[in-house]
Amino acid sequence: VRRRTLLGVPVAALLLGGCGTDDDAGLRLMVPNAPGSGYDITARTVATTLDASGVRPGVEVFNLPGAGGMLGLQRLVYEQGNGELMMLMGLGLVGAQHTTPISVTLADVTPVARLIEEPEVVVVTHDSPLRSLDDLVRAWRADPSGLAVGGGSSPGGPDHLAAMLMAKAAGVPPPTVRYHRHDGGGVLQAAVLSKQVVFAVSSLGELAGQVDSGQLRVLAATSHTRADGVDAPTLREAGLDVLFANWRGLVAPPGLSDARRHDLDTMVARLRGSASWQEAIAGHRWTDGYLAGDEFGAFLREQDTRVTQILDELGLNT
Amino acid sequence: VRWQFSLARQFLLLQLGIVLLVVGAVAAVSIAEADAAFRREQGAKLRSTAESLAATDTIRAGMGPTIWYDSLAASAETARSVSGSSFVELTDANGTLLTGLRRGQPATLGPGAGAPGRAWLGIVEHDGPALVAHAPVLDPGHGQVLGLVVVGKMYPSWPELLATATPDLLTYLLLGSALGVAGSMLLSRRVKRQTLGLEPAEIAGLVEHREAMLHGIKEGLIGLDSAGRVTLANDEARRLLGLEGDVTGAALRTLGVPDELLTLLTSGSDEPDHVVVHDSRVLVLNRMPVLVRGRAVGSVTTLRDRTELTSLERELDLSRHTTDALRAQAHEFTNRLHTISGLVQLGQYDEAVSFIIHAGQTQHAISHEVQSRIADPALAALIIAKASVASEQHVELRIDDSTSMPQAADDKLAADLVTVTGNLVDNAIDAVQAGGWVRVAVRDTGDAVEVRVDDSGAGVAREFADQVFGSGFTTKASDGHRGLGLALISRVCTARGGAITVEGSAFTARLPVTGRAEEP
Repeated sequence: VRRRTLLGVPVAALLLGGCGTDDDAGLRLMVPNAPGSGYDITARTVATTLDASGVRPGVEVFNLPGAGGMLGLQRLVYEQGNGELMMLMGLGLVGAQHTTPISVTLADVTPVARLIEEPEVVVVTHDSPLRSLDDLVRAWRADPSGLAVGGGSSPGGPDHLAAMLMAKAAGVPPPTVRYHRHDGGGVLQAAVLSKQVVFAVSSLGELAGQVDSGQLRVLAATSHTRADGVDAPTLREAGLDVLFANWRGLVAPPGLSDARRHDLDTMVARLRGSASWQEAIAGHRWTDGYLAGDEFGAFLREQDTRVTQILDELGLNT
Repeated sequence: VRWQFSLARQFLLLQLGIVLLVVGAVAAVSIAEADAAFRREQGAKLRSTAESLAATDTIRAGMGPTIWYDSLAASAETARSVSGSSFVELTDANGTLLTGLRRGQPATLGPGAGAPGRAWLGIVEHDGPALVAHAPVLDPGHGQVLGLVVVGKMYPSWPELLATATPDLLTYLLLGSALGVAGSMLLSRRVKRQTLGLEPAEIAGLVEHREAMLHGIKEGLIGLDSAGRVTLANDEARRLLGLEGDVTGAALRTLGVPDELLTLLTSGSDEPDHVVVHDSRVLVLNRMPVLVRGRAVGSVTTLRDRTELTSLERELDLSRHTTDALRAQAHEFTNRLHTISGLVQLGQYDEAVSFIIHAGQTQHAISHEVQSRIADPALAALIIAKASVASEQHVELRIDDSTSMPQAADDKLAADLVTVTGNLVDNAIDAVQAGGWVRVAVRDTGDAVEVRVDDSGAGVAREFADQVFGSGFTTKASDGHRGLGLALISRVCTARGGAITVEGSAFTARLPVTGRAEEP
C-alpha cells in the first residue's frame, strides 16, 4: 500500500502540474481606438515587452474604437471586477470625457500607472516658406482663420490642446483657430504634404518617419528639453511660453480586490524596470513617464482640471 | 514467503510495471496538456474574433434601433469562415438570437456570463461541448449594450485529443520501456553480485539458519569487535554473563562484567579452555580472534558452564576421600597384622596383646575425639578419612582443642563444609613434608561455622596473600585444574555471605549458618 502511495505522488503532481498551466483567463489589453493609433502602438509594445521580459507572457491586445476612446472606458466600467483586463489610455481620453454624451469618467476606473511621455512637435513641409517658429507666429497672427492647423486627435485631444495652447501664447484667440482633425499619423502626414494644412501639431512618434527622411521639418517641440535626434528648439526657446507633453498609461476596471490591484501594480513596475522596456521606449522616442497607482490617480485629476479649464476657455466643454 | 521468480525477473517485472504506470501518467498529462493548449490557443483566437466583430461598424449599426438581419447574418458568416471557428451567433441585449436558424429564440450562453457588457470565455453545451467567447456590442454614441457576439469552436473529443498527443506518447513509451528494461537488468546484476549470487530465499534461509544455530547451541557465544562492543551474544552467553536484554552494539565494559572477565574476553590470552569463576559459576572460555583479510576485527569467545561438572567433581571428591581413607586404613591394618604376626611367631604373646590394645585405642581415640567434638557426620567422616590419608604420608593430623560443633549442619552447609575443609586439608597435607603436622579447628559460633586449618609448612608469602583466592593462582605444578581449589572455596564462602582469609599457613573460612545469603 505504501509503495503505491509513493508512486501515486509524482503521478498526481504531474497531472496537477499539467492542469495548472490551463490558464484560459489570460490578461488582455484593450485599446480604445483603431489599430495603428498611438494607443495601439503603445499597447502592443507593452504586450510584446511583457512577453519578451518574461514578466507576463501571452497578453492579448484588442481594439474597441468609438467615441474618442470613451466607448472603451464604458466597456471597462461594464467589466467591473475583472482583474484580467486593462485599458491603454492617455491625455486624449481626458479631453474626450467632456466631448461625448457617454457619462462614465476616469474617476470610475482603477488607475494603474502612467507609462510614457511624448513631446508634441510643430512640423511644416521641407519647402514651406515658414522657416522658423517666428515666421509661423507672424503669419498666424496676421490671418488666424486662414491658416489651417492639422492634428491627429479630436477636439480635447493632445494635438488639439497643444495647438490651442500655442495659439493662446502667440496671441491668437483660440476660438478663431482653424483646426483640422485627421485620423491618425498617416492621414495627417498626407494632409501636410498635400498642403491641406499649413502646419501640423502632433506627437513626434507618429511623424518620426517623415521627419527623419527630411520631408517634414520640425519648427519646435513642446517639451521642456529638446527632443532627441531632432534639430529644433523648444517652444520656450523659440519665444512661446508653452510647456506640454502627451502621455499614456494604463487603467483597470473598477472594483478590483486589493490583492489583484497589487498584482497589476507589481507587474507594471517589473515591466518598467526591465531592460527591454527601456529599449522599446528609446526606439519609439518616448520618455519614461512612470507614475504608479494613487499618484497616477492624482495626476489624472490634475490633468482633468487643466483640460477642463482649457476647454471652458474655448467654449468646447459640453 | 514464496518466491516464484528469480531476483532479476522480479526487478524486471516491477520496473516494467513502473514504466507502464509512468507512461500512463504521461499519457494523461499529454491529454491534459493538449486540452489546455486547445483552450489557450483557441480561446485567444475566439476572443479576438468576437471582440473585432463586436467593434465593426456593420454590427454596431445593424443592431441599432432598426435591426438589419441580413447584414448581421452575412457579417457573422464571414467572420465564421475567416476565423475558422465552428459557429458565430449574434444576440440582442436580452440574449435573443438575431442570426441563424434559431433566430428569435434565446441563445445558449455561458453560465458565467453574468451582467451585460462583459466578455466571457468558457465551455457551453452546443450540440456537444464547445469553447465559446462572448464579446459585448456597445452603442458608439451613448455606450449602452446593444447585444452580444458569440463565437464558438466545438471541443475536440478524447480520441482527437489523444491523437494530438500520440506521437509524443509513443516516444515516451519506447524510451521509458528501453530505459526500464536496461535499468532493471543492470540493477539485478549488481544486486546479485553484491549478494554473492544468492536469491532472496537463500539469503533469508541463511539468516534463519544462523539465528537457529546461534540460539540452538548449548554453549555461550559472544562476539566482540575491536573496540570491545558486542556484535552478537546468544541466549546462553547472556545467561552466563548475566546480561539483560538486547546487548548488541553496547560496549562490554558498560554492561557490568567484572574486570577479570572483561580482560579475558577483550584482550586475554588465546590459550584454550581458560577456566574462570564468575558469579558462583565455573566458566571455561575459548577465545578466537576474528581476522578479515588479515586484519583483526574482533573476537569470538565460547563459554561453557562447568558449574555442574564441578559439583559432580566435588561429590566425587567425597567418595575419593572415603576410598582413600579405606585404602589407607587397609594398608595400616595390613601393617599391624604383619606386626602382630611377627610378634606371635616370635612367641612374644604379651607384646602382641599390648600392641593390639594400643592400636585399637589409638584408632579409637582419633575417631572418638572427632566424633565427640563434631556432631556433623559428613564432616566428621571427612576428617577421620583425612587423618588416615595424612598418617599414610607420615603427616600428623591434629584436632585443635577449641574444636566444637555440637549440632549437625543442614545438607547444604554440610556439603560446603566438606568442600572447604577437604580442600584446605588436602592443600595443607601437600604443603608439609613428612613428619610435619596439620591442625584443623572447627568452631560453631551459633550463626556461623569457622574452619581454621594451619600446618607446619612455610605458609603463604605475604605478597601473595591477596592473590591466592583468584582464579589461576598456584604454587604447584600444572595439573589440569590449577589453583581452582582456593578460588572455589572463596566463591563458596562468599556465596553464603562468609569469607576466607589467610595469614601465614593459617586459612580461616567462615560460613554463616543461615541458608544462602542474598545473591551478590
